[in-house]
Amino acid sequence: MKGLLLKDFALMKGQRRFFLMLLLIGMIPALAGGNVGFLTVYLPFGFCFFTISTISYDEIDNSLPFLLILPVSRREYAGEKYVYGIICGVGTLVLCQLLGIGYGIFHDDFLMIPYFVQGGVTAVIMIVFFAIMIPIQLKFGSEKGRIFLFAIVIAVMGSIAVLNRLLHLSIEAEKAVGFLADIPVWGYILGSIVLCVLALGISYSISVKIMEKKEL
Amino acid sequence: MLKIKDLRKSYGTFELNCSMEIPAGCITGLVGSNGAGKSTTFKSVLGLISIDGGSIEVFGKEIHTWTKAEKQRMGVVLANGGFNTYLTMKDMETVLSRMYPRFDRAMFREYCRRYQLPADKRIKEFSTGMLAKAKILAAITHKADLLLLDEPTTGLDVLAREELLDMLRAYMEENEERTILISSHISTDLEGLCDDLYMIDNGEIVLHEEMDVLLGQYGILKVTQSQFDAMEKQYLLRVMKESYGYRCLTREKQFYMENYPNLALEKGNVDEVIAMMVKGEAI
Repeated sequence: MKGLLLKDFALMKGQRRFFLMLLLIGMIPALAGGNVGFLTVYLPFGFCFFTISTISYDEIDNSLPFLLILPVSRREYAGEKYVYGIICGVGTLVLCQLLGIGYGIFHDDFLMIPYFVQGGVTAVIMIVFFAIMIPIQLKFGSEKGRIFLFAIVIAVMGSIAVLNRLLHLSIEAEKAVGFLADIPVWGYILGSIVLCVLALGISYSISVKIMEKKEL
Repeated sequence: MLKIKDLRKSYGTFELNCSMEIPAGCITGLVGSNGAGKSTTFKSVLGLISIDGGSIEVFGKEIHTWTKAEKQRMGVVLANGGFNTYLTMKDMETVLSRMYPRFDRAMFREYCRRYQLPADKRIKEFSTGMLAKAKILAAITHKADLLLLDEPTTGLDVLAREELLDMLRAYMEENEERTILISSHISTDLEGLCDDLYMIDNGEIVLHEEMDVLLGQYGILKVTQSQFDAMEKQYLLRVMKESYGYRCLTREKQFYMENYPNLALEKGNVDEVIAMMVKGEAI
């Protein structure tokens, strides 16, 4: 797996201009509006998308058959995408959080707790995003994978809109959802960890099955 | 070193059904026209596609029992596909050195220098010849015991092909136990390199012969109708009707040279033998 990780990090190094641009674009709202929280979401997701794109890179010039004849198993190939994604996405998130602490030291009006909560929520969403997108990309490739991504985003936004509408239509529904405010913080943290572990576990199993059946 | 027994794979109307045995220390050629089944055979051996039947053993182990150790002993060139072309030779060196315990960095760098493969240039900017050499380098610089080369010289000019073949000859000279299975539809490449040859057509092995025998004992007879009627036919493998009479393939060139000195007899070459085995009729 180390060799595959090195390969993907080399690909990332080759795209350093892209990442520099990504960083510069992200810095504008952060510096202009003091919105450091934007970076916590924007940068990790930028790296997250690049992880998904490494699967596309492996499709280019038919590189995937060559990778699978190297001393790696199909299981390792699938697993490496998760490891790489977590290193890049979560690693970037941690760096952004540290940036936030640094920013907070010099700005008294900066609220640390909501910033860390935002970071935590971003991490969970990012991991669930990986868990959904990696098997889709492995199965359908980059072209169809983009269509699926679009469909998922629409579905999620649509579901949130519908749920919001339904909640406001019914007082009982609002009361039922109100219990969420009674859950302690540790409950949310534990629930998030369980959700992430489950999502990654199920996603990894699906990805391994997809790779083991793939004909090249 | 490599044993393929009754390998079967179907793609729609195409059906591969072949058996081959590649002994250690030999260079074996697999020749056939486009779509004959060469790449399908390679992909089956490498586990890139599933097979419908038969068995494949490499280093004495069935492919479904392979571990990393078996893959580390193999070097492969695929007809379509190779290292990601957004990467550089330097990146290739880094990745291969991690994956292969026997990877030889000094040899890799020496070959890059000798064949003028720049370390920091993206592989997508390489010429066809440079790309072919890069693929071979990836296969030979970790001291593999078995090389599987699927059409490594396709698209190359004569000089580039000769350089590549020299790389393979040098590779074999380093260790007598090394083995190569190389496929090509450029038969002249194989004539000067291979110890024996398998010919595949429409998914089936139509001929297996040692190269010395094929070039030394095979011949093409060009005869008129009356000559054909009068000649001994038991040593003819294939015949083909021509406007002048018949073209005949024989494995006993010497017999016809001694007994029918007036017949037009040409030395066999791989191209002619393939054409006759595929298009000719058996007697």
